[in-house]
Amino acid sequence: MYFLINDTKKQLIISAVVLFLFFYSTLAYSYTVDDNTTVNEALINQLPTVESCPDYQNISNKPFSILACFAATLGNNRTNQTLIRDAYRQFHALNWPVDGNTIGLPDYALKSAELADTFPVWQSWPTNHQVKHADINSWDESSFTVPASCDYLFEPSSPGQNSKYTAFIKQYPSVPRGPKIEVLTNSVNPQEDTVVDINLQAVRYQVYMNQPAFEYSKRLSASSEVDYPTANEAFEYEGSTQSSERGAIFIKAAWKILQPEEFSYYHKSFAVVTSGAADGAEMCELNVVGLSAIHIVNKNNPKNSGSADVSPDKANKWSWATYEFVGNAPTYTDSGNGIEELTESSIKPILGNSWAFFKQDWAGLREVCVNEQGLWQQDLPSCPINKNGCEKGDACEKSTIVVHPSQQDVKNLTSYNNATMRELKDSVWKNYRIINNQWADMGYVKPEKLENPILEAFSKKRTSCSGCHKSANKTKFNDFIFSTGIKPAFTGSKINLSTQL
Amino acid sequence: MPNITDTEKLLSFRDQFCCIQLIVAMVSDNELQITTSSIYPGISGEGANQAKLKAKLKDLYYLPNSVIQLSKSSVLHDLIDRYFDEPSKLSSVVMSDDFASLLVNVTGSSDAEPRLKLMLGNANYRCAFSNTENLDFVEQTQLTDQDVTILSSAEQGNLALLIHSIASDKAMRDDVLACKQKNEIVTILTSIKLVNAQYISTQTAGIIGDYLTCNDVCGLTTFLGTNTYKASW
Repeated sequence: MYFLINDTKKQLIISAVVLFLFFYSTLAYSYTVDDNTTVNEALINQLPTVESCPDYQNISNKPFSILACFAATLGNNRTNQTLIRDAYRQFHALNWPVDGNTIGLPDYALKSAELADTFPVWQSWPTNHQVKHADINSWDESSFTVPASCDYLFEPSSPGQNSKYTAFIKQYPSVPRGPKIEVLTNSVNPQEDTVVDINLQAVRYQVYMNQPAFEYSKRLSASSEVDYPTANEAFEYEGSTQSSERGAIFIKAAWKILQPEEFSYYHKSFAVVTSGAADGAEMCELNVVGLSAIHIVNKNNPKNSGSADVSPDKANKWSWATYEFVGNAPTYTDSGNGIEELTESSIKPILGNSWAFFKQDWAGLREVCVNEQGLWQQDLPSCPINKNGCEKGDACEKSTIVVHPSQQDVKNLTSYNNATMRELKDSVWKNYRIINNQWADMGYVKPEKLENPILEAFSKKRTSCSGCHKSANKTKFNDFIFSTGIKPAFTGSKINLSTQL
Repeated sequence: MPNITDTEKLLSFRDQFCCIQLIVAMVSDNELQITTSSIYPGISGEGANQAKLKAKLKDLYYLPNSVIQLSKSSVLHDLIDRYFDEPSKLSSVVMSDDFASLLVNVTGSSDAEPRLKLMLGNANYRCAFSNTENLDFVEQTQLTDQDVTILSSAEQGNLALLIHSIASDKAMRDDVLACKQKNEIVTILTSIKLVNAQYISTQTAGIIGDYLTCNDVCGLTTFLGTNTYKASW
């Protein structure tokens, strides 16, 4: 010490070295953190990197390959064909099994196509309800809130005993398990309709958001101007490659309560499902639910050249891909000139013994839905096809859904849907098809009409995802997302499945 | 013997006609279109992998699918007849390697969309609607800043087939270009039976008719390029 104190020159050098090392280590540490953050974000967001998907660079010329990663943007060549390809890839990537209990992280080591069913990445994402009610503060929080009426399902039957939840899940080993279960309280879609299956059970809806959407939503205040993050593709800048960035993704799912004989066809999940009892009280039950339909809304179209000053709708940087379970309902046949008809052969179920949302006697249906000219006319007052069966008060009637056939991109859709059946032949995901992927092309929405028979059921005319969401592109909601329009649904108890016996 | 300039112009026309053939191949063969478009995300940049994919795209897909079995009724045959005076042994033509490379590079560029629309638009207009009394042709250098109609995907495919039909039949092409009134153009275009046994819609024919009667070459080039690009790429 004496030496150091008296040797001022040496002391200064040592101090400088210490300061330098401290400064350097800080720099190095922050670099490492930043680097890890980038890598982790790429992994969480399923962006193609050497770490996440080393096979991605070989995906060219293999259009139907199924990987855990998918492109951040629609790319430099955006056509209806490439949009369908991107819809195919994002669907299968997002259905990749989640890695244990890690929210949003796919298990890159697994091969999704070899699994009979998965607990998909998107089902672990936070729901709109959780964000709106500030149930969770960080992305990786796996706790979730159930309505108070569901509390009894998670309490031990007696001290040290299993809860009803634990006993229930043991009965169904084929149902995939993950960090969360579904909490389904909403059976009314934005059009104020209720879709009811042939077992007289209403479809339930849920909305999920990815990490960029979650982080952005968390920061939103009531007065915020809403502009969810848009994806960016990787690009070269001053000799180095800038990483691609994932944009906001929202997923809306429609769930149907399953009967045991339906299990083998559907992607399944455990769920608490609420409903109203006759005395006005709320009931809550544990169910196995199956996925009936899904929208994937992805802000991945940064090149849409429509500008906000021309028309707000033209600035739409989202793509709106929609998918459905193939056993939902029969499809009209287009007999030319836009005339749709139903044939006796077309109403035969393609999975199991019945459709999920169509059960009618052929002769009886013809009697009430065919007009005097012999043409099918679903808007005849007597015809139940595509009508809300909950309008008349009292109990709802079962829905009678008939799907309008695609008029756009038929060959491409067939190719990709056939590929799904072929590539996933041992998985329940083979039973889901892309309906189409809508996007804004130079400000023009393509395809103009697109509807999902379960998520936008009963529309009187052909409708459109972005057409409907245009009404969200206003001061109140902004950016085409009904983020603040979600009705306050419930408050309740927080559940963490890892604490369940 | 033609002078070198005329030869170059003729070969340029050949490349554009072969480009129309490539569009038709991709519109007609869904699997070909899916395969080629699956390569596009991998060809941005200059790395070794990108170079390999570019070569694959050019040599396995673009060049082989640009081959035209040349009929005597085509405009190209007529031009060769007039400027080379010895087409009797000519049975087929193929896109040049340079043009195919350019097409691949443009496809992989970050501004692929507008550049391809312009490239395909010029090829479409040149082969179907330009004056071929001589070999002079001035290409459009930019797309119109006016909105152009985006057709349905089925109609986009039909438009590509229509252009190919007109370019393959000089007599038909002369009839179209002889029309002065929009209604005449609509009548003749909607009467052309396409190879898929369909016909172009009255609406599409009317759009073409409007551009032709106004002599709006830039607008028509943009309309043709935008819609055939959407159908094929």
